This record gives sequence, structure tokens and C-alpha cells, in this order.
Amino acid sequence: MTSSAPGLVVDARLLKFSQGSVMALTALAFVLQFTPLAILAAICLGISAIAPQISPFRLLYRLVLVPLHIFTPKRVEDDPAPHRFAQAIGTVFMVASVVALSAHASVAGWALDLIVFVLSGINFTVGFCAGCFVYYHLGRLGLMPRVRYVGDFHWRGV
Amino acid sequence: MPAIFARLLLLLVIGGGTTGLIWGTQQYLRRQGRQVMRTTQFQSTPSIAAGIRILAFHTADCRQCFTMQDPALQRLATARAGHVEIIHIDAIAQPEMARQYRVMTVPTTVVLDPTGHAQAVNFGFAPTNTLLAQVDQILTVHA
Repeated sequence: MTSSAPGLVVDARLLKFSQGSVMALTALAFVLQFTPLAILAAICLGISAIAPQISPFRLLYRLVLVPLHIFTPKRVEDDPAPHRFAQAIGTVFMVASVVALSAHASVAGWALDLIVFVLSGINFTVGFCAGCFVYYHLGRLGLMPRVRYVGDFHWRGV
Repeated sequence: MPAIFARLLLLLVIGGGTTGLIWGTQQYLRRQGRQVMRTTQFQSTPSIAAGIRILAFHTADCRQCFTMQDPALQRLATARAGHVEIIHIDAIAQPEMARQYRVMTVPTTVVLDPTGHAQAVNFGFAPTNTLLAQVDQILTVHA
């Protein structure tokens, strides 16, 4: 059996912290009806998706929470790409939410905010990443970088 | 009731209901796994002395099978060299096998003991540590 894939790892605790933070921001924004928190969630998610090295969640986690021993990094086998895609999806929903709220479409705006709350909550509590699920299915449809099986468990990119 | 408490209650209902739904799905998957462990036996002779085999179900377009499951299986095979045989099965090309082991998603890995009985079923990606623990449990029992 062979494979050319490198070992892929993510920090599970950083992911959980990010998901928990998004949950908290979206929940508080809804309960308090405070749009700036929704904007903050959109910005944080957007930076996490586009430039994870300077993600506010990551900076807070690495520079404050880990040195204070509130969290200990836990590296696990996982592909970071689907998680970034999931954060990008979250960004799209949050931007749409903020746009709707700015246009006084409160029901649509808060509904989008709650969708992000629910999806991050599911990921946080039971570990099901809906964005990752979409990512893999887009790959099957050829809309994402994909790989093909070419026999004897050798794979190649297409 | 003040509006803020109504919104808080709505959040709790939505969050709790969704979590309950997912938890129910996970219980269903566990039941399916237990059913496989009770009823199936792999009809083939192991090619190695220890006789532990892992059926690794994949499909041609399963990205996670390639990026995650295959490297994890390689690490397991290296760590338990001579004890574990990996058998790769295309779930689309072999639908009977997929049906027999109730494969609902790929990757799915089924850990077989030396008699061919399933001792663990992992629907979705199974990391190396999980597979190692499952293999070591069988090695302990059959030592």
C-alpha cells in the first residue's frame, strides 16, 4: 500500500476554541440584538478562513490561553483544508446576516446568525463539521481539488 | 416575559433540539456497528500469522480516504508490522461487501479478529490511535 499524502494534523483544542467563540459571539449577538457582535464574528471567521496564521482566535489561543495553561494544544490527525472551508462558509453566512440586519431585514439577519450558531454548536458539541461535509461533497462533484483512485490504492490528483 | 429571555429560551431550544438530533444519529450508527459485529464473518484466510485484518472501504472519489485514512492505516501497519493486514475494498465496485458491513459512508474501517469476526466498526475517518487501540485489544485477547 502506498500513498503520497503527507501527515496532516490540526490542533483540536484550537478548533474547539474557535467554534466555542463563534457560538458565544453569535448567541450573544442574537440575545442582545447587538449587530456589532455579528460583525465581529464575521471578521474573525473571515480572517480564520483567509489567513489562519493571524486568526484572532488563534492569536488569543496561542498568545494568551496556552501560556496561561488554560488550554494545552492537542494535535490530531485531520485535514485543515475542510475546516478552513467551513469557516469560509460561516463567513458568507455572517456577512449575509450583517447585510440583512443593516437593511432592516431583522428576521432574515438573525436567522442567518442562528444558522451559524447551530452549525458551530453541532461541531463544538458532537464534532460534526457541516462545512467539511459540504467540502468533501463538492470534491466529489469536481468543484474542489479532488483525487482519483487509480488502482492498488495509488491515487493521483485530477 | 422580557424579550431577552424569550430569545435565550429560543436559543436553548434550537441548540438542544439540534444536539439531540445529532446524538440520535450517532446512536443509530453505533447500533449499526454493533449489528455488524454480531452478525458478520469475513470468509477468507488471513495471510499473516496474527490474523488481524482491517477492511478499509473507500470509493474512487473519496478525498478523505486518500488524505486521511490511507496515511493513518499506513502508520498502523508500520506500528504493528506482522500483526495487521489491510484489505482495501472499493464500496462501489463491491456492493455486496458494502451491504454486508452496512457501509453508509467512506471511509469506513472494520477491524476483524483472527476468526474473521468484526470487533470494531468505524464509520468515517478513524485516526491511528483509535485503530491502534482496537488492534491492541484484539492482540491482548488472542495473545
